[in-house]
Amino acid sequence: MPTASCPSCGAPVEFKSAASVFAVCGYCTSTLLKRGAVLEDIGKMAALQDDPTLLQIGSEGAYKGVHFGVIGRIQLRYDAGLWNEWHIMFDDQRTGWLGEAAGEFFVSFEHAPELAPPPFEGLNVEDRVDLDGRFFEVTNLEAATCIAGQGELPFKVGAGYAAPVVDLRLDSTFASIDYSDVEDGGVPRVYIGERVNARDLKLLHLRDPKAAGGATAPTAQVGSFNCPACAAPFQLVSGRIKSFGCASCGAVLDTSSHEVRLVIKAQAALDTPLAIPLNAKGRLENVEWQVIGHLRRASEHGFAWSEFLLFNVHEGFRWLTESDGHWSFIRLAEKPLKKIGNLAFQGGTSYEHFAHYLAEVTHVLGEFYWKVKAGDIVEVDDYIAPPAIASREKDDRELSWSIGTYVEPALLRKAFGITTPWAAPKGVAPNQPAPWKASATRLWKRFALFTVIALALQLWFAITTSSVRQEQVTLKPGVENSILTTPFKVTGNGNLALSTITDLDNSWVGLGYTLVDPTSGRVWRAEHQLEAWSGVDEDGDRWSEGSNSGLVSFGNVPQGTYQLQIEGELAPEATRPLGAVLRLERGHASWLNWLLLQLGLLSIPLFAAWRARAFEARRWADSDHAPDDDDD
Amino acid sequence: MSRFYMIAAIAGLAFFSYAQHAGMSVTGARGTQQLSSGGSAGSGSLWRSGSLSHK
Repeated sequence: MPTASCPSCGAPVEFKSAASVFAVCGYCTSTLLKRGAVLEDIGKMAALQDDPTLLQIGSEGAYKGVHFGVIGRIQLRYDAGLWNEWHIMFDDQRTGWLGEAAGEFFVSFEHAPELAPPPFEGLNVEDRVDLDGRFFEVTNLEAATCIAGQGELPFKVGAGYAAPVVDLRLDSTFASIDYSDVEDGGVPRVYIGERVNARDLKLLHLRDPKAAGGATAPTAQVGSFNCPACAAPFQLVSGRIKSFGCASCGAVLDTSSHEVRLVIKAQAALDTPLAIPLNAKGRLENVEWQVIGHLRRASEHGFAWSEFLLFNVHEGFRWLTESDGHWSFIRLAEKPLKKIGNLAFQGGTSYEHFAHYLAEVTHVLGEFYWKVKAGDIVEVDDYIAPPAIASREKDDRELSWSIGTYVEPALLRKAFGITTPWAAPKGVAPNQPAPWKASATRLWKRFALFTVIALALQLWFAITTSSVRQEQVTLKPGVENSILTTPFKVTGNGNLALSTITDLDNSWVGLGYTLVDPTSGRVWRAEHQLEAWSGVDEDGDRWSEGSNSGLVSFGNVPQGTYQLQIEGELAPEATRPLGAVLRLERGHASWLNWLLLQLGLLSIPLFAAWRARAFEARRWADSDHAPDDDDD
Repeated sequence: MSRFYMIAAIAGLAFFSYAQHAGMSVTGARGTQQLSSGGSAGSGSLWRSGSLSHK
């Protein structure tokens, strides 16, 4: 681990990494270039600007199980504020970069692609860049400027040099191309890595949050200010805040540096009070959030909605969006969703494209972590998988994805302690869960279960049906027929059903049955009339009506010996005898009863499915894919 | 809704079982036990001359 003395002040300058060729003296801020064993002082490094980072030279962490230490830093300014690239050195002697911007962290390593990346000037958001056969999508184009360097760095940096940088994504892989050396004849530097959660890095030896401008104790950028337009006092809760919309006069202020600058003098006042007031605190997903900003946005079709920016010192930023009384809780997506046609995928969830529109900021109130102003326009594509929603926002420099979920207004009111009345939600929100959909799904599952049970019951009834007696009789025309069967035994339990099949043709017959228990004298009586008609109408079509068969049943017939008396009367005009076959069964299983049960079981799931479908029709009526104008 | 369906379906299954056991049917006539035998079911006055709207 080579150590040398600063040629300017004599302080020891340690090079932890053999790859480092550049260092800034921690004592006198001299910029030192390593030439072999000699350190050359090439001038003073510009001062770093205060920013809310918790990292510092000497901080430690772990990435994929390998411990690293922070040995250097480049601080850059880009349009949205300050951004740090921390030079990190792992215990296995590898060096890499820990990028930190707007509360997000990225770990990346320099990569030498076989083919040089395309020039910065020719790139646009959404372009595909081939990095060794992997096609990354351009998600951000920044013309950053270097503010200062600190500690050990693998190359020379200087204040004020331009750093055109391109961010790219391929699924969860992150890449960036730094074009800052190109102007001096160098080649673009390519870095490949991934977005990481700060918690996963297990960072140690961080700055005191109070000194870093956390929410708990204001420092330079966190604290009380006065609006330069109306002198009203206001406070910033985080050092990450870059814009502020004054609640008193509507001015929009740039708070990205010590000097609070006026961006827009005044905006028209909002026509309605905020549903959740600024600074209100509420607990969502077990995290306490503070409402710090409010945006009003509108589409080119005149549809307007509200976006509330939430902040938590540990979790960063989230959004609550409100449109027509429907709310969603939104966060930035950790990685871009994969788009295929009208679908977007992430984590096993398939999102369906809902609408494409332009979103313009029409009103700004409170604090924001990027420089926002009324008139800012982005292109938005919403994808839905109710209750989830994914939004893709794109302008000429940046492409980002956010995902969220529908939140019931009552839950929010409780979380934020809202007592003023809210208007009832209107219509159907794109990601509003269909109240009947889950219900219909559950009902279909239960229908399947009950169908199986009903079928099993019916089969059991059918299997246990036993034949008691079969009788073939002939009924004569013009007389009252009366036939008494010989005695027969009835065993088992259940109903006693008598089915009659006749050779009736364009006539009717009245039949009466008397089941007699000769021993006890008890009788059971039943009767029915059969009629069967058929013919050919004037159009030559065949028709038929009625039936030449029928069924009667006797309930509560105990086991015993019985006789059946059959009485029959044919139609007066009948000229020929009528043949009939009578079959007496114990435990007859009616399939019609089973069918009626099935229809009954089916009715409620069908109703729920119909309601769910009607709900979906209302949802999609407001989309780009409404049935009437779905021409793609 | 789901709970209502469960209750209705169980009640439906129970009634179905009873109906099957007792021989109840929408279309079929149901015989009744009478106190004494005798008389003729086929007395002429009982039977209609056909009720269907045959063409």
